[in-house]
Amino acid sequence: MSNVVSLIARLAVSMDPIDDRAIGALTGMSDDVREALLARDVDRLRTLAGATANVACLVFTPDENDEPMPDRVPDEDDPTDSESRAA
Amino acid sequence: MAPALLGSDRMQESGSAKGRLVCVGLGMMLGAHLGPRARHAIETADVVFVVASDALVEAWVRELRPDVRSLQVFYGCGKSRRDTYREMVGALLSEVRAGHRVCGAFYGHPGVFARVAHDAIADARAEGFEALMDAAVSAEDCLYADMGIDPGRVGCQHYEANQLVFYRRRVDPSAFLVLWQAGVVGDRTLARFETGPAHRQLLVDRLLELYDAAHPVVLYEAATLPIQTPRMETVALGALASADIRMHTTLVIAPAAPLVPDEAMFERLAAIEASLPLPSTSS
Repeated sequence: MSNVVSLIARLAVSMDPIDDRAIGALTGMSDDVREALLARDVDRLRTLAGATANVACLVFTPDENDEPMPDRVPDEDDPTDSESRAA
Repeated sequence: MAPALLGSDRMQESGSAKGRLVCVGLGMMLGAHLGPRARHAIETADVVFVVASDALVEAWVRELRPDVRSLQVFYGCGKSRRDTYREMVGALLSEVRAGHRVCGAFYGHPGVFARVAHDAIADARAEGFEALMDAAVSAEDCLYADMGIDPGRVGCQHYEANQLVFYRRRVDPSAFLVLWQAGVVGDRTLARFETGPAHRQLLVDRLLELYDAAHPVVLYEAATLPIQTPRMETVALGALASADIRMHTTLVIAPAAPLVPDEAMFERLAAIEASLPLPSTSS
């Protein structure tokens, strides 16, 4: 059902708690959508919205050209270098 | 009053057919975080690609743009994410090269833990195309709001979890530590979407160099739908390896050490203040 995500988007802009009363106040939805919303049944909502694709998250992945930064070598001649002074 | 024209409209008015790329964020929660600039970009681009955190979010974007193209098709079981992301960048760029105004819509912030948008923009610019990124609400922003953390108070360090396993990083235990993508910690194949307790134990061992085994770690997951609540589950560090950590779980570790005042710096500041005239109280 195409209006499932529209209904969820309408709920999303409310700063009030999304309780059963707020869901009950929504209009223009079928009984099965209302039941799924009240049950917070996200899987059922996905099915009702026809959104059953297996969605993967983006995972940050380093590029093959990325190399770890080399260990920093303290500058023995730099009196402001804290690592040098600590050594 | 008519809204001010954004870049894409101006380009269209000038008659330029040169391709252009805009990467925008959908925010974390369906319908709650999409800004007007991002919405405009989605609604007016010639071609829109999307990567969403939830199939429902993707369906919602499809209501804004029925012809949106999902980048999910590039994921594959056992396929290196490097290949996946390279193909996603290629899809975006091929439409830019064809002279289209292209919008890449990514969940969260398009440039936070989302290398595709950065790479696509860099490649587009290198080829002489206009390309830009628009800021959006990321999981980090939700984390601050949900957990009541102000990074200005004692500081907040953010690392992709593998940074602590693969490299010798310097963590300050007097500040918050936030570790992202703990669900795939230890993965060097770039083909897994989760690793297990043995991999996680390496991260735990590293953290035990800084924190007690009883130190609390919050497993955080932002809500992506308004009918959900954020996950904020506390476990002891010593039990972290066997905890329920998913691909989108973030670890939040509170400070374990107090801030140490730098008395020498205070003395130097006092000397500076003593040499300056007193601030005037009159305006």
